[in-house]
Amino acid sequence: MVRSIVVLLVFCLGATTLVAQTQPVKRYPLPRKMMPLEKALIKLTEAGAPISYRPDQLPQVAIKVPGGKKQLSAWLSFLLRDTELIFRPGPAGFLVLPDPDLFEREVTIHGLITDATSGERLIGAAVYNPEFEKGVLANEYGFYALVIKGGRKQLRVSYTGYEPYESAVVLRSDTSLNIALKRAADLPQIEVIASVGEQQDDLYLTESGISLVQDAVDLVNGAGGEKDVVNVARLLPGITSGANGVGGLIFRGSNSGHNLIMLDGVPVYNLNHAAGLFSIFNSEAIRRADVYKDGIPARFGGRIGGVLDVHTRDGNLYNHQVTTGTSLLAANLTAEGPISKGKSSYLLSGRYFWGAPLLRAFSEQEKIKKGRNGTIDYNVNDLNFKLNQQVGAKGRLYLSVYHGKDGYSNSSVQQDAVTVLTQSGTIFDYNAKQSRQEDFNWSNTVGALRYNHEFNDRFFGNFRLSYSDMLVRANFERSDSLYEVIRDDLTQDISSGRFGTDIKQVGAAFDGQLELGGNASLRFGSSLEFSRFLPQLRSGRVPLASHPELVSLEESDVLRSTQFTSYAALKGRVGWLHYRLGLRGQFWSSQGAFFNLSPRLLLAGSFNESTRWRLTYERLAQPIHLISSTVIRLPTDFWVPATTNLPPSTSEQSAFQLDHDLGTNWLFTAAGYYRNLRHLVEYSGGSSSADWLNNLSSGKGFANGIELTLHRKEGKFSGWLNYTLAETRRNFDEEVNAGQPYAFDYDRRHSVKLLLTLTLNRKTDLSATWRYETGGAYSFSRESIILANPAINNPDTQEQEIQLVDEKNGFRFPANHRLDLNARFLLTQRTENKWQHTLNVGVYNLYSRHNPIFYDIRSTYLNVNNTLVKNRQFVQVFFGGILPTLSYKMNFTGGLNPER
Amino acid sequence: MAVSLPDGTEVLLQEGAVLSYGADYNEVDRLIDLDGQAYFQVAKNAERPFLANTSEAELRVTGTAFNLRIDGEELEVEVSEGSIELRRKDKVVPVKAHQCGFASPGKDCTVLTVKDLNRHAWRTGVLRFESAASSEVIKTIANNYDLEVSVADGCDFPFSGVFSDSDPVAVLETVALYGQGVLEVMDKDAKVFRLSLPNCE
Repeated sequence: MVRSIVVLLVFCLGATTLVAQTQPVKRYPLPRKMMPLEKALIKLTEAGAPISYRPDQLPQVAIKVPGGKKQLSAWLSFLLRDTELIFRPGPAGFLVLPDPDLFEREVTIHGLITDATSGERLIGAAVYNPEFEKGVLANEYGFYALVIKGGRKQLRVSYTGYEPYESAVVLRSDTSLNIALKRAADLPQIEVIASVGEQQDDLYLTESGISLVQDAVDLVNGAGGEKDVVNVARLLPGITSGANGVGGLIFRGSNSGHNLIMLDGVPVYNLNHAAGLFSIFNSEAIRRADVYKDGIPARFGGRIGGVLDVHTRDGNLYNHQVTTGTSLLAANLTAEGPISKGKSSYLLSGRYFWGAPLLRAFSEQEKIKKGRNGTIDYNVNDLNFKLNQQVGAKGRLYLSVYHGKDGYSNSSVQQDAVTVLTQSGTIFDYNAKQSRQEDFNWSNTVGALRYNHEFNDRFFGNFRLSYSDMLVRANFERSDSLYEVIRDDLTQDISSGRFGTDIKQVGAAFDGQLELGGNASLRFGSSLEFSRFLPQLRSGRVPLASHPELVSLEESDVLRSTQFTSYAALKGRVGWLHYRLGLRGQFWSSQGAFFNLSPRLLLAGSFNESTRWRLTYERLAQPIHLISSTVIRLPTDFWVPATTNLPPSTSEQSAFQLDHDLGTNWLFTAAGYYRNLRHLVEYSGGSSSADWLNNLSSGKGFANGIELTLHRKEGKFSGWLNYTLAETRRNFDEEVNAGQPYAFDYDRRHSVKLLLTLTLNRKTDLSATWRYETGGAYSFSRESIILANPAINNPDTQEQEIQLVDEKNGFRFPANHRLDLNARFLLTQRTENKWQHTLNVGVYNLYSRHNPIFYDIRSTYLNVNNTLVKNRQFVQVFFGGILPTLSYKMNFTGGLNPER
Repeated sequence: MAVSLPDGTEVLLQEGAVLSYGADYNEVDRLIDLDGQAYFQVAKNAERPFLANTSEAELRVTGTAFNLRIDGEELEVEVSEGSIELRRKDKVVPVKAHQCGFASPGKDCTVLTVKDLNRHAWRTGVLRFESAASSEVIKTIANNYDLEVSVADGCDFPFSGVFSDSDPVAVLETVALYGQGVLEVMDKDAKVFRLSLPNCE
């Protein structure tokens, strides 16, 4: 009995296992072929697979089907993965249905936008979905992240100078999509501004910066034919140069020391070469520069004026390239290429001024013509180096280094001999000698080590170690002497000085960017900097040799400071209103500790399709002061950290801008601003002082203005015409201008700027620029000359002091204006050639207007009616009359497809 | 229920179908009477034609396999092998393999090409639709399985699918899902249904 039960049980177990085994999962075959999705499904059904679907819900896509036999679920996963469909078991077989949650689900699409040929990251490229009118701009590293609802989405990626990329992507989940754009055949816009009539104008509503790309800078002429991004920046409304297009950048009535100049994220203390003829930015090494006059993003701070944020190129990731050429001012050599194709590259670019011997000879001749002996000598060179390396799948490392050096010297000696016969028959034999001697040496170094990392689809971060230094040494001596030979009587007025600035700064920073859902994104970061300053000034009415030599940073007590800053900025939109709210906190400690909060507010929107508006407000603080020394008349960078007596300068700016599209190609912009400046610092002391630090006084100022611009943006002929009406005044304490308000040095009431570019054909471009500005304000020196009046015999009363009437900045230069022209010729037959030759020929200052930079007092002694008369002349020193500009460039690209 | 007729013809009757034939079957001809649905594999005999008819139309077969459904005066024959003829008055309409012939009172006989032999589904258990209009799909299922399905509102949408060994109600539910509609059972025997589909946009 028991045995039979056991047998029965075994049999039952056996039966059940048999049953279990007789149901293997069925595999279905598909051929190895490219076929439409529907066909693949039909083939599966023909093989007996129980699936159902609606043909009208299938996308018309072709799928490359790998051959073989797979389970049905595996086949469906594969076939549907790039569609908006999902599959699931249904009442009768598998159902292929649209993913119901897909259209509501938020996914992030992120990646890098690069140049297809060189691999260069495209900063600020626009990634846009026309259907939802949603998009983002790639950041300084070419990275973008767009949060959008799932499903099949049309994407449009565009960047000035490149062909737009349009494609449909099916977004099921967070997707990584890197896009490479191809260069366009036509000329890029000079300023990167939103195209007229395109829906993606919205993307640019909160972009308060103006971008200048390398291709565009290449079109505009500069001094001596040297292409310069700062030169183009000065053509923008609201931005002017120091004197006559020479020296610095003045944003809306601020001082040149009020602007934040950055190279790859590191602040630069010296912008100029050749006293401002051209900037330290080598246009061959620069990718793009962003200029901010208002709406300054929270990640920039530490200065109260505007921002010039310059980004260097990375170096071609795929092909080796060598470019060499020269302008009348400097020869340039640039080499770049991949170290590991597609993964790492280098860029090395240097400039050298080769004309020194010519300048010496030329200046000697010119001086002789004016009756003087002397020479001008000038040497400048700079070097840019960049290394970039991909680290893993999500990171990238960049090393950028800049080093530049300038040396300038100018000497001139003028001798006059005058013989005077008085009525009483006495002969006086005078030798008058005037000598001027000055030399300047500048050098600065900037270094940045940066590491980017894509933490996840929505979070991008950048770590940065930075180094910046500047070293300036200047000496001058001016002497006027009168020597009466017969009586051996010498009167001499001499003044001289030594001036030096040493700055060294190191820092570390982190910047993060987080895409939030909806329409918002967050940028935040923190930085820490340690700096050392050593300003030195020795001046007096003594010969130069009697001043002791300047000391270096290591040898002496320096002014040390530590700065810690943190910021956060939220950008988004609420219905029709776009906003950007930022807050930056700065803690600065040197002699005294200061904490400043710097709020930033930007609101923007569109009234309709063709009109956009923007309102901005910001409060900025600057813990270091740039003093303009009136002792030396050439531009000098005299940086002084804030002290308890001289707290950080602050400014508040409120501004608006209105853009209106006129037709498809024209854009009219009206902007206005009001700036309030506080705690400004000026050098108030006399011409000699040992402790100049005590001769600084503090004051305030304001600036306001209206800027009107008409742009023609696209087409063979483009450019802009700008008119600005502006005013800026300063008011310091009693030591400066007796406490009375006075016009700021660069208070230019009216300015007009015209830029025109014309593409004649694929190989020829013409450009013309005309600038007009009301003359700047200028102070005559408070110097007084002590002179022996030879007509008075009494030695006690002989000496007379001649005072000059002075009101600070009471004098106005005449208006300065000039017209520059340039023609650019691409000499190569075809664009695919490995060798490319470019020639630029132009004219600087076409109608030869002598725009003065500053005035000098020169004395000549004459015999008038038997009396010695000293004739004071105010000589205007100007850069030059009409000058030719010429530059030639040769480029070689190795490897395949050197697209240009 | 499978039946063999005296001449060797194999008939598979659907549940509820009624087949009758006279005692003189296979003497001169082979006349049968059918009310319902059945599958016939007619033995080959050119001399004694196999006949089925309604009051107006006559189905004449010599040797073939087909699915025949007679519902009152409606005759529907879907041929899987060979060919048959439908006669009405003087008109003769051949119906070949993978074709379906229809005879309705007052109308000429019509023929439709059918790639999928869906009308055999009650027997084979296999339903195949390729871009078929949903209304057609529902009608096929209802006819096949002798169900009553009323469709409230909605519009047609194309439907493709393969079902093997499936419960017809499950297939109807699947169709409902694709149309974003609801299938309701109206009687306790699960023979009467109502399908509500949302309107077309």
